[in-house]
Amino acid sequence: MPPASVMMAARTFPALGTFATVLVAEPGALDLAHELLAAELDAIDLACSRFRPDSELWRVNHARGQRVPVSPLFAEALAVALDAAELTDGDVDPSCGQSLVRLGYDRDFAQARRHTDPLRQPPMPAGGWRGVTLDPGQPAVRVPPGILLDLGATAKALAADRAAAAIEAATGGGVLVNLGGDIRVAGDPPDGGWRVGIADDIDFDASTARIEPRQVVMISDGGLATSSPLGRAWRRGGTDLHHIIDPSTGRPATSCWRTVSVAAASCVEANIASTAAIVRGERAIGWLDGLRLPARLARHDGTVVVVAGWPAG
Amino acid sequence: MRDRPEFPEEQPGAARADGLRRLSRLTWRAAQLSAVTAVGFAALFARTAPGQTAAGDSTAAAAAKTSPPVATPSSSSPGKARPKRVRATASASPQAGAGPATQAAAQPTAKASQTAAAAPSKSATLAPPSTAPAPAPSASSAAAPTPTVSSTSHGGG
Repeated sequence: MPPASVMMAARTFPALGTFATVLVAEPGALDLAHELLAAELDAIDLACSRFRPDSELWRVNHARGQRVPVSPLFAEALAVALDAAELTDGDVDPSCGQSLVRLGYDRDFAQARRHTDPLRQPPMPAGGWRGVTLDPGQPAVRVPPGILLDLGATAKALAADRAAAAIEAATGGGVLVNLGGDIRVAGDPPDGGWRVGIADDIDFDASTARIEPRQVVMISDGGLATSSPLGRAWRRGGTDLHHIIDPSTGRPATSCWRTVSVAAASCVEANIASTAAIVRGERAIGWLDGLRLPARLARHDGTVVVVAGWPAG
Repeated sequence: MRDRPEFPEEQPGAARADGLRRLSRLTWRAAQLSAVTAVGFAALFARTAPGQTAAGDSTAAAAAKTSPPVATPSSSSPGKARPKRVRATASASPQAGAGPATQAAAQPTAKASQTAAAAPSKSATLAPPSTAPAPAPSASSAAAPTPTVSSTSHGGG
């Protein structure tokens, strides 16, 4: 009988402006896994896209302070985003939409990066997440006027969590879902775990073709996420910008890390921690270690710090 | 006689004693009023403080030093404010009270939502995995690693 790693089957396709990969331990389950993942991605995009006029997030953002009924999925995505803000004292803030708009990220990234003219407005700090009202019972949302939500930091990770669980429930087998670096595994892993490559110096685009992992680790459960200012970067008026916002300034975070990878109980938690670590800089080492979240933090000069049991190398 | 006591049968010290009793009652009522006012201000402050408190990172720093090492939202943390919501858990189907537009938007999610109950989002904590990542064996027969790369999430810090 061949080893499990040989029996695995995988499929990759573009989604959410990045790539989506699903691996299943049982090759016969691949089509169903793909179908379930695609459905989850469609749902999360329709609920949480900042750029689609037919999305729920669009309606919420343009409700001018009015209460907006939302789907359970959107309510869950917003709850996760607000939890992220609370868990990080606002370092991961869903109310940073206006900050991103001021920085020129006001449309789909592929389109936004084509514009290189100088920015017309000063940066706008975030911090308005505390004013967002979520009623999970109805469910309904009220966003104060002037606040623009962006759920991108956590919605994709949430989709990975949900899709992996759905696939495991439907197929009964082990599965790995990777959404542009936001990874969640569920079910029985292959022998030794799932092999995951950690890349930290790439000029990432919506393809896996150019990725050369610096380290390969094995994971058996939970989630793993990598955040980096290298990921989505653009240039306006001679200034380099990227997508990870420091909510206190409204500017791209100036971090000592070029990449932070974190393993956690879920992909959402891993994503929250890795994103906050970029914003927190050096403080992230003690923070992650205190939480016992295995993490790999790569500096701009290439040196690496590992904490909480992340394997060296 | 205008300067006679109103109650001539009272002893000379009775008026003084009565005055002292009235003063005592006034003092007691003033104390009660102060207590009620203090409670009122406390309640008012408790209701309005969350919207005015500035964010800080002291709570997370404190949480990082405590055991067990799980960050949890804490409504009792000094200087912290919770968003205006009840703890949210997604239900499996759209609510009847949702408007037509919402129901239409929710329809594509139905398939995924049916199985989402098995995918609890443990976002209220930052907990480690059951098993930490392990070094990969250098087995040449192993399948190519699944890359985890720079997160393309576009916001939130």
